[in-house]
Amino acid sequence: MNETQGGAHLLELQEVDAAYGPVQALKRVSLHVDAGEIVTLIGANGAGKSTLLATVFGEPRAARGHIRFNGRDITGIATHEVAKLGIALVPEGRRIFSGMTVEENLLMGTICIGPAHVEPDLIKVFEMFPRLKERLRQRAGTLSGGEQQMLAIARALMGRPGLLLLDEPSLGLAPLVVRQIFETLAEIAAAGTTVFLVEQNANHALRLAGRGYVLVNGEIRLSGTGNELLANPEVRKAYLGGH
Amino acid sequence: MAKPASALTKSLLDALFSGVLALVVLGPISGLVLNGYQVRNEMQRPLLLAAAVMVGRFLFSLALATERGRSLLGALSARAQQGVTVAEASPPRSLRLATPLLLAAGLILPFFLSKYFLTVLILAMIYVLLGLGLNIVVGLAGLLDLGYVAFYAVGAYGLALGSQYLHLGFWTALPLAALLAAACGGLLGFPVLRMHGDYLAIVTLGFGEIIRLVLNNWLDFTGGPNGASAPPPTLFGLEFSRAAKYGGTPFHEYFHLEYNPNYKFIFIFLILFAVVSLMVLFVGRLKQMPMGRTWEALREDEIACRSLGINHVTVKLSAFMMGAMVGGVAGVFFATYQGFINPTSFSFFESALILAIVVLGGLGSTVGIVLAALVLTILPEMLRDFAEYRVLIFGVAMVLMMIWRPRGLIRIKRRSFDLEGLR
Ligand SMILES: Nc1ncnc2c1ncn2[C@@H]1O[C@H](COP(=O)(O)OP(=O)(O)O)[C@@H](O)[C@H]1O
Ligand SMILES: [Mg+2]
Repeated sequence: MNETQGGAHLLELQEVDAAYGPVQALKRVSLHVDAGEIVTLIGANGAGKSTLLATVFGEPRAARGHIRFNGRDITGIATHEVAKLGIALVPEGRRIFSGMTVEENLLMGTICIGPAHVEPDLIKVFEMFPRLKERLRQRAGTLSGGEQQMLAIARALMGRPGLLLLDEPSLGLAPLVVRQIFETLAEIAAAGTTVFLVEQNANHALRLAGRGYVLVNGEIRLSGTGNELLANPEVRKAYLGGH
Repeated sequence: MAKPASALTKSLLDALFSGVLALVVLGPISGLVLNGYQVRNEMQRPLLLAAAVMVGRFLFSLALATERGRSLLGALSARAQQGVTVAEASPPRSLRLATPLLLAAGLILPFFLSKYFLTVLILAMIYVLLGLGLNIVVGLAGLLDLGYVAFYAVGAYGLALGSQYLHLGFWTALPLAALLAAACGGLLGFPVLRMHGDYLAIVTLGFGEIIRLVLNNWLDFTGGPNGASAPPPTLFGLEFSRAAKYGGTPFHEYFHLEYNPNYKFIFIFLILFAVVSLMVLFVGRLKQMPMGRTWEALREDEIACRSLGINHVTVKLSAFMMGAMVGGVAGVFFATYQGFINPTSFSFFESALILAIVVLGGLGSTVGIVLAALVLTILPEMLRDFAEYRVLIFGVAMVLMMIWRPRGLIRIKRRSFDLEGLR
């Protein structure tokens, strides 16, 4: 494990609890992501992965514990302020604006930083996803699943985030498309954006990530480097089909 | 027709069901007649009505079972299934030609109309304005406001009471009443906009009624049911009455013209026409500006919006206040045109009518709303004899719309936002 003690982490959750009414979804979750890393969080359906990302955005709010970003405590911050700090979310199920064009979707991503960098950023995004450029004036709802996922990622990148959170970007996509998306994530990380990836697709995610955490029933069960977790018998049994 | 026999039984069952339903609904309404303190039983009437419903439903079901009936229905509803289309950013050629023509017509027309038609047209324009205002809230921002009439009332009473207590003239009251209405919108919106659809509708509905009840019952201040009088507009201090009432010179004396009561209405119409034209222009721009885009995004996916850094409360509030302001302006025009207002003009029926305009116009389409407002206000005037059936016809029209044209008579060709809009 390459724990960086002492210096501030980019994102840090410390003993965070979160609940939906009586349903306790996160229990004493502690994890951290350092600048430049790709970190993944794997877990089964209902483990609390989406909740963990949502808690960073304050919905639901952490009932106890602390969330820090760049050393600053953001536990109580308003949801719409989080993006302005430089955290972008690619939500589960993409949540693109399907009635709006691809271009408009991308422009929505610039809300948190203003329109100053729109043109160069669009060029960068189109280099990464040439398909989106071809479909610039098309309604986003008419894109294929993979293209919609690309659009969701591109929209998040338009806000120039320092930290990109992704919630199951491989969900419902063909293996070939999944591979493409994961290659893009590696590119994004190489270009200097820290990536925190939530996945059920443990095999892909752990190969991509430097480090990983395993979430079970709202608790962090295991953590380690990607390779350590890939080799871990418990992980192999539960998430990799037991080979 | 696959199985004629089953189609027949199905139609019969449909008819029976409709008949029972009609009996249950209509029985108490039309079967029991209040006569003094006694209730007279006239059950043959709902029975007849139910029979008529049954026959109608039977024929309808039968028609639906045939190929032709289905294809007719399909043709009616097919286009409604498709989503919003995205048009190019520049307006279509036909529209660019029509605009100057319409403007010219609007400027020339009032001089050739009788007083009656002038007043009808002014009222129609007021509803156009109300429709455009409510459209910002309902059509663009997607917030169901059932108490829009409250802001209309605030504008109207703003002029009447402002003139009565503060001696404000039309031109001073116009912006002040608009701001007052916007402030009311903000006051109501701030706590309410955290709520979702249904709750918002109920709270706004209540607000509309509260305003009306306050106007009705605060006798000392508003005059209660007796109403309040409102001043007509002036042209650089010139008044449009026969003799000056507010210390100015009458318009006709200044220009050595014969007195004509039409002058006042022509003048009101021209100002109103200018305001409506500006409003149409403004709404058109708004849709392409970041604010309009944000409203649309918020309507589509609030959660995504918030994670992108949009404060949903302030964005909704902006739409709510802007709509309220337009309603206030419309109210000022209504008051000055009537010269006298009382709370009965601001009942829930007005809210429903304005909402009908927005829905019939196609939720978001400016042209559609202008047309719907004109049709819904001018047609009843033309068909005075059928005035009693107005509400019924509205109801039927709305139900039919929701079935066959859920996106409105005029389907929106949404312009795409361009990068220029961001500058
Ligand atoms: N809005 C909600 N209200 C109540 N319970 C919820 C809500 N969202 C999620 N949960 C519950 O919280 C737990 C974790 O859900 P989630 O974070 O969506 O899991 P994952 O993303 O890992 O599949 C589940 O038991 C789920 O039923
Ligand atoms: Mg999830």
